[in-house]
Amino acid sequence: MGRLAAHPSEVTHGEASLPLSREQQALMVPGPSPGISGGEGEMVVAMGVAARGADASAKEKHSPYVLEMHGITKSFSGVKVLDDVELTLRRGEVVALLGQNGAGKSTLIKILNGDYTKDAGTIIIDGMRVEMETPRDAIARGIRAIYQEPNTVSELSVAENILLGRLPLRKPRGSGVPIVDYEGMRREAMRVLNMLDVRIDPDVEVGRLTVAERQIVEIARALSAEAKILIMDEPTAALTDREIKRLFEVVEGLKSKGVGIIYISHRLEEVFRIADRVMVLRDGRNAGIFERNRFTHQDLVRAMVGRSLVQGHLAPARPAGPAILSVENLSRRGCLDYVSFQVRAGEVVAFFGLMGSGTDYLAKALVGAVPVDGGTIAVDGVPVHFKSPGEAKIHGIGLVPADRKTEGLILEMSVEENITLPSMDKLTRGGFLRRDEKIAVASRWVNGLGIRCRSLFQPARFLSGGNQQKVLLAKWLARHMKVLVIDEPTRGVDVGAREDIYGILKRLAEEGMAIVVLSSDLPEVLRISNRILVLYKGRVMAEFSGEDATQERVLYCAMGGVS
Amino acid sequence: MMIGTGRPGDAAIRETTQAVRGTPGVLKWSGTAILLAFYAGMIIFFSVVSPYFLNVRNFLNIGTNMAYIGIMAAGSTLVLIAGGLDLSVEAVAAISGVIIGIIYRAGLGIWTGVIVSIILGTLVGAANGLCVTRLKINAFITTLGSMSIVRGIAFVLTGGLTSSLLHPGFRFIAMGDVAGIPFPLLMMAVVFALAFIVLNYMPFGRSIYAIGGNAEAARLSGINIDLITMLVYVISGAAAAGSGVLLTSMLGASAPQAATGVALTVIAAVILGGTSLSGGKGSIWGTLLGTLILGTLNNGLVLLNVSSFYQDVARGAVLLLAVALDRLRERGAV
Repeated sequence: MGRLAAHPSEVTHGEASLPLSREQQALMVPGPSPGISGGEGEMVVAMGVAARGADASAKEKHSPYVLEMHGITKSFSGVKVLDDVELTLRRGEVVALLGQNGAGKSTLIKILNGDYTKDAGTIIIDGMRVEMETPRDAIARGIRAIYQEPNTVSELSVAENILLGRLPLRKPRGSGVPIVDYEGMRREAMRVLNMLDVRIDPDVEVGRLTVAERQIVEIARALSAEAKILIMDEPTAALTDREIKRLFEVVEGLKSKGVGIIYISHRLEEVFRIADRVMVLRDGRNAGIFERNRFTHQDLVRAMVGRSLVQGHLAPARPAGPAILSVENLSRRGCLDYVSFQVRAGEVVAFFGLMGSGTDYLAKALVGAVPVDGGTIAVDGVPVHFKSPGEAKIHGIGLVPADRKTEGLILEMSVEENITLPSMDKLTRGGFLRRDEKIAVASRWVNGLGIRCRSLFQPARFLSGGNQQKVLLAKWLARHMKVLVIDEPTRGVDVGAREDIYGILKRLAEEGMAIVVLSSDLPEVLRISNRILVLYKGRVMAEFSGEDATQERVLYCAMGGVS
Repeated sequence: MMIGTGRPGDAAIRETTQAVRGTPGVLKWSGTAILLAFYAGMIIFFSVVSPYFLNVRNFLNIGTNMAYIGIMAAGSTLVLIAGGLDLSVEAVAAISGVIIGIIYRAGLGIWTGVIVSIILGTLVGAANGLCVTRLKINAFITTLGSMSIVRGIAFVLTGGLTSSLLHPGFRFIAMGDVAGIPFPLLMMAVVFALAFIVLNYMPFGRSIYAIGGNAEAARLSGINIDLITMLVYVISGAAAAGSGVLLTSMLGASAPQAATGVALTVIAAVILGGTSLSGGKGSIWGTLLGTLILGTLNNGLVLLNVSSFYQDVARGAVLLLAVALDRLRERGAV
């Protein structure tokens, strides 16, 4: 750190990633907080990387762990999402964190990051108990995170990105004004890039690098800031196999420098390749910790699934209708790998895929909202060509997107207008909207789906998540589509509305609609579908009929296992 | 469909539906109520301090003088609701006058000139629309560029010279009246009525709101957002050209420097009327009120012999005050 010592002005004006001066850290030491029962004689201190005292370094040697999290508990509006969770991480160790959607992985990571505050439990870094109140605290203690989408500034050079918020300064002779020390910045960038043994020009703009290279820039940034704990959250989702290999070499390098790494991935193969230990979370609790070479794929999948039962099967009765939607070899480089399937009238076909599997791309490709390189789509046996959702609509295919607020609803518009948005062209006379007809249509679906709103003219913003989701379904029902594509039908929806939505899907299918559901919710997929197709890296890995699908088998395939 | 039978909440929902059926959202005044009160206060103030202010002739004057701004503002309302911006309107208005002058002097008839200038306005709008939708150039930059290009061409065509344009029929546009109502006022009324109908009763108008509110959601709902955005700029261009015809008749001359700086007044009128700069929200009534407030303010200050420098200050202050009040209202503080 020496020559990179933060200038006082940086401390006050810089961004969150700068190291704190001793004075600042002294100010940030929190007193014993009432919510935490500090043991007798236990030190409650906040310590930064740069200012570790001699005592601390002495104590450091006693503990083999760089990080210990004990009894971590967290609730959101009364629902426990983490319950007494333990996690330990040694220096130079890679711990893979596994779990299904909603198992609590991201909450645990956000607590470590300082994004959330825990309700109970202790966090110990280098043998010192610490409190993490803000992301700034986490950074000051040497914790860094890298996500699927790199968090770099495209317009700045590699060196500037590596030293972002901690730019070295110098005072030119004869002037008291500190200016950026570009030479020093370059030297430091070269030093860490060499440590990682990668060849990236420190002067090039980050915007010109690949996603994989940008992740390495982020790792270099963490290394330069002397991070002790690196969180990698699905870092490989957007990388090619060669880039993944390169990334893993860098990870090996970090291990040898004593950095502890928490690695989150849905890919079993990667977990076996780099994890020293695997920790599985399930429903907010520890569901097993496995040492390297002491477990099989089946052990991990079993721990992730547990024995939670799939309640009441809700798939429509055996469909016997003709194929309504036929998809052949739909492909897109890096997203979809020759996907083919058929959906018959009265059938619910579910695609199960974990993050990065390509379900989101597939959903949009089915309505022409994203480009594809090749493949054909036929409706009622007739090949159709469309390049936009508007054209897909004409052929009777509609999409309910995964993100209600950013892609589904016009939040400021009324319930009535949202419902009739795709059907406006059918609700006109002589070019003018038939207001009464519009209201009648919206009213019919509000009643039919049991949408709770104060009035038809209430802006969609004020509805609950479940009711908003029903508005999105109503949009396409009001237009009588042949095929309904639904991405994550119940994400962020409460239990009651979830059952409603399952019931609606079942009835729609039984009335002859072809329904494609894309979901990362395993019990959901098992409950509502006639057939399950498992997507992994954009490829259909396996197909199950409702009867022979089990949670273990589906999950195993979705994590890259071969059935 | 069998969905839609017997659920506990049905009756209640139907009742509320019935209850609100009589008050369509398009006539809601809540947003503009504050603005209306503001305008009333302004009228009372000027009536008290100036004896010449409160009479029918003066108000017809205000309307006549503001009509060309109002026509541009109506077009800009569509653009702003769609989440865009059009700075090129003032240059389009100027070049309209220039084109009319050239064609008239070439002996092709004044009305040919009027038609050609309006076609030119739609073409400039189409070019703006193409830059925004196809090239994905930000609307501010696109129309800043086209404003400069069009204004420059107006100067090139005239060599920078203003030339008078005297034609009795053409003069009627600015000076004539129908049953005592000045023609510019009628022109503005027609444009506002059309904008109102389009915005509230046609799929095209509702799509403009949808695009401004959430373009991706609109696209996934099957709305052709590129086409609609394109049309919005075309309409704005045509409105600006129409406004230019009126302005040329008012000036009795084609002047390449006409309407300089007017684009900002137009945007001020629209914003003052409660239309959101980020799109999705706004109404044509608000724009009408915004235009009238700016026009009345100008008129009142002229009657009071206030220097035109102070008029600029007052206009800016009114804009900020009205928008600040609106923000406070939204947060429930007023």
